[in-house]
Amino acid sequence: MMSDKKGHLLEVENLAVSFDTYAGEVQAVRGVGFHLDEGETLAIVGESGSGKSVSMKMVMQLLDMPPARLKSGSVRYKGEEMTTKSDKEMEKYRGREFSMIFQDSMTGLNPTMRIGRQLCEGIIKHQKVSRAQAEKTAIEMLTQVGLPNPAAIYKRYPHTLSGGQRQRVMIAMAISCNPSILFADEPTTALDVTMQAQILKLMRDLQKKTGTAIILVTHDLGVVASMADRISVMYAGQIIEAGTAQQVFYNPSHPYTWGLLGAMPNMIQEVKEELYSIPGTPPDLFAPPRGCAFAARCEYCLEACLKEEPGYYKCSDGHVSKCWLMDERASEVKPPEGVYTRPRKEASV
Amino acid sequence: MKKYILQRVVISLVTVWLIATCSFFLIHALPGDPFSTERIMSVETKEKMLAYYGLDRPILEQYGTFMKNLLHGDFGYSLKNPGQSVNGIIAEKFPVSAMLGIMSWLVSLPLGLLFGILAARKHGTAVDYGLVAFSVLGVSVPVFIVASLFQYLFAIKLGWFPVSRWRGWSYTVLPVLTLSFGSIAGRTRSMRTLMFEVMSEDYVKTAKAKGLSAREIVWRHQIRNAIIPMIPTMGMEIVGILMGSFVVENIFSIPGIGAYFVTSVQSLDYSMTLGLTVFLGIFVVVANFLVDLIYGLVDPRIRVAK
Repeated sequence: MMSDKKGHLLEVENLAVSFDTYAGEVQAVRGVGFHLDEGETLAIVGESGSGKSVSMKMVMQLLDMPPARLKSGSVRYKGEEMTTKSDKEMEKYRGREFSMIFQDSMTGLNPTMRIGRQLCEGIIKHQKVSRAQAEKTAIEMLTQVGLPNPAAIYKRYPHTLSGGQRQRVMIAMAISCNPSILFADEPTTALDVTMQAQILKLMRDLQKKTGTAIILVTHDLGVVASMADRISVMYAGQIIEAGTAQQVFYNPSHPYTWGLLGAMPNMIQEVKEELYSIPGTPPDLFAPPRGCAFAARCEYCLEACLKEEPGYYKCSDGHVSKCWLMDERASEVKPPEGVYTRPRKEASV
Repeated sequence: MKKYILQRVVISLVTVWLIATCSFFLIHALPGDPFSTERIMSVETKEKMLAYYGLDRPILEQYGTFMKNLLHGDFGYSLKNPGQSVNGIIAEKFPVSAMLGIMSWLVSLPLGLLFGILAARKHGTAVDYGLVAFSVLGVSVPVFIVASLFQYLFAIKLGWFPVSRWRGWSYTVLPVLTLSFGSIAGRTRSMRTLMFEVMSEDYVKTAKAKGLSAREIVWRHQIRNAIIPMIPTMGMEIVGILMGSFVVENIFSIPGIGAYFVTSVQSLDYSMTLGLTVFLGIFVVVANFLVDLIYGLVDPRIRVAK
């Protein structure tokens, strides 16, 4: 669908994940596909509950099953199918090939275990080294993520560190075994703006040094702008637009992306203006609508949108959109003012 | 840390004083006097007895004497067991009750934790359901039923252990099992719930993302964190075990302190009741203090706060 048959580092196809609850089946992810090449950064953008985080956790098989259930789809890593692997087999991949940085570093670290021990655990497990050797690696990692006095931090408990320091520790932990893919699940959401910028810079620097591919899950378009090579926009458990950062940012073609970009504050905007917001709320994933999931909130909704789900339309090379407006039978629609004419500045934080 | 301990010592002293004072006035507020239940006692004799024990003095004076003696660690003489001091009775009988209590605690703590962990690990399997059924049963069946059941089954039918009395190790098995039955059940239940709670914590996800196996996650990350909320309840559980032991002692004819507690209240044996109440009060206060210190050892966040 969105991935061609060349050997990508990671290829996810038609991934569907549901949660079985007492109230019924929640279709959290409904056919997601993307690919990732070595050393690149893919951003998955979407609002809360759009399934971005669940998709990531499914790839790493971190979800508790049950209640989560893989309905369909395949995840291929270096050409090898991952979804059929047992939990035991996955242990070899988690932490070594894939690792993950979670949103909340406060709860992401074990409060009753010293930082050093938490770091060493993974190193000892994957690199099969002695405790002393692991300690050396761990301290080196703490240095690499820019923590002052790493030997002291090694001996401390998580609650004695600040939020930014903890997130650095999380990153140190995630990169300690040189993973080829780093899943960053809203890594800066819980941090203040200055700290966000520092953490993002750290991630970029580390990526440059190690060549790790990053999948960045976020709802913060500012973060995306400064990090991503390619962007996939998710809505109601599906990817509705995907392309390079340039394509999605400056030539978006899905009304939901227009809305998202329109809702992003910019420095040039008149302060008096009220910030744009997309009307309505995302659909109920207990019973997703028959047609396009965004139709109910879409200003450009066609009759077809309510009846049938659109497929992926190719906008340009590597740029696809899941929208009926792209169909040749639909009439030409102009995106809202300002979406295409937003100032282009070199993304940097 | 020093400041914290000092603070706790002061609070503990105040607590003990409150226990002593409240029980003193409460027991004296009960209608009748220690000798009103004796059938053959003339008014004169009774008055002599009251005067002998100082019970004819104004209540505040009695309170003053009581507190003065208490400061010297002297609980006075029992009114109903002539010639025996309350201290003497405690020294003789309490070790038996304490041993019973401590043994039950030592049995119930590891077993309860183990069952809880096991149930959580085997969630949704027959093992889990079995343990849940056991814990519901254990919490809801009263201790005297468990006691008689065990006596009938293990002593009378199977003849493995003696029915009652307290004459050696084999005599301790059934009372200890009976007494720990309820706490094992209760602890299984709470440990199981706590394990589930911890399981959904982010740091467990982090551990999993590191590539640790389920077993490593449970032992290194889950158990310690799951036990933490349980520690404060242990202080209260000591009280529970002591109360339970009164019944168990009675059923198994164990010469512990429980019987004295019940009869002394019924017969208005002032000094005995007060002595036992204050003694157990101190015991519970000290136990809670120790539990709080353990809490700090297990949870580094609390340690720093101190």
